[in-house]
Amino acid sequence: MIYINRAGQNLGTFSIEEVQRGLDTGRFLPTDLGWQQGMGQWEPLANFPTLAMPSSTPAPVVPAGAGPDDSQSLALTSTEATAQDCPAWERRRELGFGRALFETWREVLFSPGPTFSRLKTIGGFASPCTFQLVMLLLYFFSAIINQFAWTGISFAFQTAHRSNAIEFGNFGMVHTSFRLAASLLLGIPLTLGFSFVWAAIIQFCLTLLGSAARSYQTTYRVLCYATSALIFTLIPCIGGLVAIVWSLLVSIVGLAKAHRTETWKAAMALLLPGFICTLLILGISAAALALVLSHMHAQGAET
Amino acid sequence: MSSKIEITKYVFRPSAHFSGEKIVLRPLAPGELDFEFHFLIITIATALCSLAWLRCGLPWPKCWLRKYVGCPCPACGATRCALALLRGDLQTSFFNNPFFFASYLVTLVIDLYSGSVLALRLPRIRLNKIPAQEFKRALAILVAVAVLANWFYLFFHQ
Repeated sequence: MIYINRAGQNLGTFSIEEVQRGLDTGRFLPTDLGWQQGMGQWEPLANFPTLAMPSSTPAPVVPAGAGPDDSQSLALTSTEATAQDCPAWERRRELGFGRALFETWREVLFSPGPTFSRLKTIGGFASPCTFQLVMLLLYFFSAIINQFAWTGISFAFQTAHRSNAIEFGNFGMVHTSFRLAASLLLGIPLTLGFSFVWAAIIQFCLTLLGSAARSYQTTYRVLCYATSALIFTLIPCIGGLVAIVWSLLVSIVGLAKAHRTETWKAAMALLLPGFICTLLILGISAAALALVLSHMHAQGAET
Repeated sequence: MSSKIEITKYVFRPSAHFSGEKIVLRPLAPGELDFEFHFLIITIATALCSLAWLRCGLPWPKCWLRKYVGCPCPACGATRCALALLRGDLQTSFFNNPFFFASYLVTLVIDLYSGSVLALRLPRIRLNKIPAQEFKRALAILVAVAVLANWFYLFFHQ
């Protein structure tokens, strides 16, 4: 058996006959890397003595880095693969940081369907993770502004009503600053770390529903880009709520499009943990209530 | 039918998969995602930041379910479980939240494996073929049952 890899993406494991057929039909390229038991490193297929290279290389059927899984990448058509170029954040070197960020917000927030339909399902964790980091920094910035604004209002209110309010106010400001600094320093890496866990939970729920057509990486990428909605937290008062709702909607659409599943299934995957919790608590409460009522009824019958 | 046979094979004959048929030891291809490196960095960074968070006296994670409904959530006791595990108190750690105790241990084992293969530049353990969707689903159901069983345990012990 030969393992085939193209541009860092595993295309699967194939027998020598299959690889030979693939080379002849253009499914595999002589430049694709191969590995089989006993080899120390990966080598181009052209270096395999057991394989005969075609005289003219036909156009490849399987695009490089087309899909997340071996079978899926082979199943994708070249049209699908060439269309996988979004979001703009992945092209920030070419577009520039500011424009790439702005374009990603526009694409993800206002046309999530087409954007996530074309989302690259591979490409590593670095780009979406960096995007999430930028969004978290923006979120913390808005949180600091809001926190200080509220502390200031509270301080002004206390000054107007209490003689010793200055001491309280100063303490509150210093205390708030320390907490904000600490939560900024630790909260951002923690949120980034837990986003991997959250993506794993969503992938798990999608698998339970039989809708995880793509890999964990795809789910992670969707959820990271869905944090674009955090931009709304810059709006005072209602911004947080808008961000939560918008992020949820974008995540649902994104998961549905990226995993090629129905929207309700994507929504269920996101809401499943909460839904099961509610259902179980209701069930247990109902059972407890029924027990208490039957006990009371039995006592009433005895008397 | 064949998928059912495949699932049964996976679940009931795990030893068959270490024979070289299902699991393979191979080097990473150039440009291939380094799972071990990512896993190690992310878990260690998250664990260190969580520890620093608690050391700084910042608020402990609150359980909204317990606060408003009075019932534990499936993750209740996870922080206490981790802290007891850090102290080496395995018994307390296990009884605080058995599912999270198992999860932490699995994470620790994967970290040890990742650290070893990275430090010694060893070949990586990889699945020979991507498991069938049915197998993944069966595994997910098993995990879901474990989470629910753990939650029932928490209901009666916390």
